[in-house]
Amino acid sequence: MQARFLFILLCNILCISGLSTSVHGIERQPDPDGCFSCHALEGLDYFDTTGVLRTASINKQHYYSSLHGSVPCKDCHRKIEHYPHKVENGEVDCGESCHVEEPSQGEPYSHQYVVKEYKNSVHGKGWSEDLTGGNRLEEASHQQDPSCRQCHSNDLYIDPSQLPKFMKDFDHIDGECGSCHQGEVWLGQFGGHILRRFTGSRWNKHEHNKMCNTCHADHARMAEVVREIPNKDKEIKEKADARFILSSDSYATTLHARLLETNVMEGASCLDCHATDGFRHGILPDEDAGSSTHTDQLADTCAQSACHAYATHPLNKPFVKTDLHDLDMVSVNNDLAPRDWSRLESGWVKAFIALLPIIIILGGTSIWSRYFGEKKKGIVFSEIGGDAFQENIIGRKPKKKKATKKTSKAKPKPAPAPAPAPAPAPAPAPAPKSKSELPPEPAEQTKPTPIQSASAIHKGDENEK
Amino acid sequence: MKNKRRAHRVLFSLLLSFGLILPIKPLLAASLYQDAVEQAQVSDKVLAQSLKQIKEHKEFLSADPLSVPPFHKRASLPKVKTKGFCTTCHLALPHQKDVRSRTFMNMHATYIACETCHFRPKGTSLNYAWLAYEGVNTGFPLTARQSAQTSEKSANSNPSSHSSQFKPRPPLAPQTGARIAPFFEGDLALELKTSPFAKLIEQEWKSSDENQKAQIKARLHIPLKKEGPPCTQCHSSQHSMLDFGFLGATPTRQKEIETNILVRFFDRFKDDDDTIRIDQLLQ
Repeated sequence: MQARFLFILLCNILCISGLSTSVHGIERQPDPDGCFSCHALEGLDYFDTTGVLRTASINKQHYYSSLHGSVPCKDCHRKIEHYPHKVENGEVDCGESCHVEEPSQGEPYSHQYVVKEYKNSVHGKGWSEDLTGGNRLEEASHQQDPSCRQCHSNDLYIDPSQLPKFMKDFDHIDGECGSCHQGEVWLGQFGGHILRRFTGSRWNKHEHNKMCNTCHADHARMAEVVREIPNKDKEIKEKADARFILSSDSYATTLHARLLETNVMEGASCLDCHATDGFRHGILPDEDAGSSTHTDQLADTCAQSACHAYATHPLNKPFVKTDLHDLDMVSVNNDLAPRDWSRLESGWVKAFIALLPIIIILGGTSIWSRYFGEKKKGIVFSEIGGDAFQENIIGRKPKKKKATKKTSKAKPKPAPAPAPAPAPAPAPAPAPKSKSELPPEPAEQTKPTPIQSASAIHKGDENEK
Repeated sequence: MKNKRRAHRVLFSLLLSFGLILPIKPLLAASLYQDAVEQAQVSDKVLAQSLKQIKEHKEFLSADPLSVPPFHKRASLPKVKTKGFCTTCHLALPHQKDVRSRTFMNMHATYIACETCHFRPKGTSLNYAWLAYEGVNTGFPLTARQSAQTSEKSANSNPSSHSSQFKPRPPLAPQTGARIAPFFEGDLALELKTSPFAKLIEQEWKSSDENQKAQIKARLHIPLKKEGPPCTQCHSSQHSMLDFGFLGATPTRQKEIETNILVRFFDRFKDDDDTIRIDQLLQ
């Protein structure tokens, strides 16, 4: 009995020790080359020959808390071995694999797949390699397309707004995952990494739009863009039109943007339409058949959301023709808007052009007759309205409104029926005061024909006159 | 130098007693640097070089911040303009040419006055203390300076010989614009941008042609040394130029400054073209 108990105890100890040692992480030194001996100093600044303020100081605390905080400097700046550093030795290639292992598969981590997608995109001529702190001026002045660093900086690993939630969940992970994955290293690096994914590492829609607007809301910068239109025969290059330059403004007027503006996250961000899948870097021009915003793809793109699931139905084809970058929605005060002749393609403009001859004829003749046509003295002719109708069609002059009112006032109210009373002595009847008090005409009188009644009205008019 | 200055004062006092010199007050308040400028002898060679520099000078225009953001979050200090006389012409980040040292020198310029490194007259013992250009009371320096300007010079104003009178102060944050500056016999050894001497020079400069400017420039720079002292002159536990304890450094900080590994690293450079493997930094 005692031997059995000892055997079970020994097995338990072996199991526990095996579990606790088999999945320990390997601790890494984030600054094995001592780069922060210098770069952590504050105020390592100078003006270069072009007048640009350069800084060699890096916020060490921020770096260690950043997305790349566990990546040693030389994983990116591979060739730096000497001081003073040669510029070309500090060049960074974002597509290189670094020495950090991807936690789930244990492979060297790399952004190469993202870079590949980006290189095939409309922004693909931007820089993803040879990046140095020194060539930012060259990029700003010569590069049309954004480089990786134009959109991505070395942000904090956990956004401060998400930190309370992260800390709360991180306490929990120790109990849940810690039974197998033990040790500070694992918890600090991989546990934190996985939890960060759950907490919300991805950019939200507001951040998407903010990133795109960094360039696309800059009218002056967009006006300089030369677009490359995909074509089978030859590459077509054309200057950006107003529709492209004002794309951010026109988007802001859509329901998509306004929903997001009011924090209703059902609205669609720029990337929701322009980069629907993959690593969300594969934005293509609308003219490209593979683009999510190509005419043939729009139904699928709209249908990806729960809101527009019906968009692929054949009967709903016109839905996808809704223009989400409609220039007619952009403020007319915008300096760039009036120069856009593509506005003439609007259906409203076409309808106006079609009706323009009629408008000119009617309007012109009206004005001409008013000022240059024949006039009768004392008679005011109105071109339209009831008086003109009476004057020209029926052939009578309009009634004077004042006279009509007087006449109606003069009409006495019908007298109440006399109460039955004993018949007095016959007295002479009082003379009638008005026509209405006259007794009704005898019934034998026949109704006048329409012609007669018209002439009677005419006569009556003459009498009134 | 010290004897000459005393002789001047005796002479000026005699002249004053005879009522011959009226503007005696600013002359008595003249800094050691002003004295040196007034006594400077400009050689033809120096004058020619000065003229050449003036002719070749190009106005510096700082560029707007770049539209492409830096990838790493930077740790720059605010560029607080001091009222130092040098910054009348020179930038707040004056070191630009030497690739190896410019960033480190500019870093030092955020808490050390230009004259501390570049004004080291031979045979003159200077003392160093914090100077708050922007009017922050650092304990003694401005008080001594102001008393000198009112011709009531304190006899007990030497900060090192009478340091017991002045409590060591913690280093002032660079944000305040304070710098470690040289003092001579309790007076500031440098000129402020707002001093009468500085204003006089500024007026003369504006109304001068190139040749006259070359003369002014040469005279102003003759008392100065182009090269600063070697790192080990301060970063040393023995015979350090600066008394870090007096300047307010804690013993731990003092030791950090005196045994800085970067100083040893830079000490390995033998000539200007040297490059050194960084892994030696940690050795």
